[in-house]
Amino acid sequence: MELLKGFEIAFQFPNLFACFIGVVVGTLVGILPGIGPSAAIALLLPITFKITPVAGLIMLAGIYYGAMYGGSLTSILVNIPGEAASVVTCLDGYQMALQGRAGPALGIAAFGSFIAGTLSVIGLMLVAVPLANVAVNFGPPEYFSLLCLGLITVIQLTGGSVLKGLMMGFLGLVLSFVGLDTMTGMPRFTFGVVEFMGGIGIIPLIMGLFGFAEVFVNIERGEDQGQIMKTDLKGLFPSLRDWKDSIGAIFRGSGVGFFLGVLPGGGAIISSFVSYWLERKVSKHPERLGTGAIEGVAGPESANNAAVGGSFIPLMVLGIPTNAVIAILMGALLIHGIRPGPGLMTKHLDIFWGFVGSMYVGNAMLLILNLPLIPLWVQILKVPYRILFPLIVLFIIIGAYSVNNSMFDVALSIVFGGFGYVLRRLKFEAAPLIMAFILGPTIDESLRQSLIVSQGSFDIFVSRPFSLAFLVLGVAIILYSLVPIFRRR
Amino acid sequence: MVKREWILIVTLLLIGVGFTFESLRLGLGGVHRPGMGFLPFYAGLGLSCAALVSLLKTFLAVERERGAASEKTYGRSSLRVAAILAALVLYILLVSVFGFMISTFLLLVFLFKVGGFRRWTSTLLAALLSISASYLLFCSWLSLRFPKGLLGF
Repeated sequence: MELLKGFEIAFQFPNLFACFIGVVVGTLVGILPGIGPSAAIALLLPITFKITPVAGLIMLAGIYYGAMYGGSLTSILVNIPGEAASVVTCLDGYQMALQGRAGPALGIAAFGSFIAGTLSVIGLMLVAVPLANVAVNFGPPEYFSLLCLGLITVIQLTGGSVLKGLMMGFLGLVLSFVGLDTMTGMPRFTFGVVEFMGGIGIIPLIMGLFGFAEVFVNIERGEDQGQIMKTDLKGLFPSLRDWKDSIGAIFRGSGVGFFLGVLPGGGAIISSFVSYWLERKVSKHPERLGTGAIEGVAGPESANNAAVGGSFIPLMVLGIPTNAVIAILMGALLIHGIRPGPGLMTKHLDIFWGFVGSMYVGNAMLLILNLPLIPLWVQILKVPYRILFPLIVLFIIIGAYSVNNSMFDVALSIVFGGFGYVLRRLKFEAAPLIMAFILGPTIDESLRQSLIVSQGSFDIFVSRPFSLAFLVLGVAIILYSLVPIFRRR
Repeated sequence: MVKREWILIVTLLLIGVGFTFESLRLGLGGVHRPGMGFLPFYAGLGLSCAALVSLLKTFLAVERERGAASEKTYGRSSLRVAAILAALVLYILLVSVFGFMISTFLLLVFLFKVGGFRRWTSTLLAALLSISASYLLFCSWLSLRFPKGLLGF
């Protein structure tokens, strides 16, 4: 019944139009290297001030899942992922294009994304409401333990050196403490800079670490834009054999993506990698993967779309953003006076169900739009990066400026851009930094509140079942990560 | 690579130490009533310790071989990045004098030129079109107010 009301909201013209703009911009963002969904959402944030909260949320979410669709196009045709979540698609997608099968590769990417996107919305719908009923009883100890588990997961899952991940995590934490202390209202770590009183903004941080840094890295790489495949794009509908080979991968990818999307720090990027790894494991002929196997495209592309639906669960149910894109979305909701969390399901039911309805509509819209528009997207791909990057820089500057009308934020984003570029060159992951930055203030607040309530006893974190479960899981992840070190010895 | 990493890690160590000492100044409080510096102290300490361990690893050159193998030298491209970064810093300074529109126009001219536009007419036209379109979209439609400079626009 509620879903029907959600569809009614989603089909209202302003919301439908917002959904359309969101998915088109998202696809474009997915195609273009140098601007990811986080930067695009931040850029379009001012537009949401002019529309209703539900239309704003629908549009921004559309950018997120639209980008997942768009990213596959460049991976398949140019061997350059337009979006980080489509990196794995290059492996088999580009090989298929080289073999003259770009059409079925693009087709299965679009159909797989549609199926996974729809399944993840069903999952979101089924899981969010019962979970919200449980989460209503969560207090500061549960939040503290859950967020610690989130941070541990991020540091473990991002890959690369754990030590580097730890440094980035701690750096994100200390940066998040800059500004007014939420409990006392007193300034801390502002070092006399008035602009720091409100804290370091998430938008300049993301614009710098993901926007500017990406531009700098692309400029440094030079003109290796890649050759767009001159291949027959007519056969976009996969054959029966293609469907047979990829349907299992689509469902497995959907499951993996949805589950990892729910985990803090999981998200679309990791899901696509895990899905590819899973396909290798379950395949009877793993040697085929990497040589143009259609399941190597179907699995990861389904996983990155399913992760989007999954990542909305912690936001809607607990008010916890699990990645940078969701954090910006949360910021947009807060600007509109809506605090995501258990209360959203009771106080703003229309927003939640309108949003769920729009995700069904948006996924269908993407499928209908994407297949016929592929030749147009290919034309956009032909625009050289050296012409695109000044425009991307312009968008980043305006995006960083627009939230607070502050040039200080622009300056900050340039500083973070330079820093992000150095991090990328030295193979430090920015994800733990961003996640710790987002979760830091809530971790601090919930820790202090818990200790005040328990009168200084740390037992409060282990005497409550949910809190204990989160901590045990966190410790298990740490221990699991230590296994290879002991094995080597 | 190891040398550059060393510089970054020392910077992180200094940030960690800075936050640790500032947390002490703010007051840690006690476990019964944690102060403003309670968690920041441990986060700063954690950053300092992780950076110290990493520094030690770098000194022992545990990752030297792996680092050297993955190092790529880009030469002129790196200079281009440095030039763009310098231009962006200069841009921030220029905005307060010339205002957003003129400074952004000048920045765009520079970026298009760096990007490879050969003719001045096409460079100026591209910059003018970009700034006009963004003005129409953000100022006229979204009522965003760009900062004015000393010249009043």
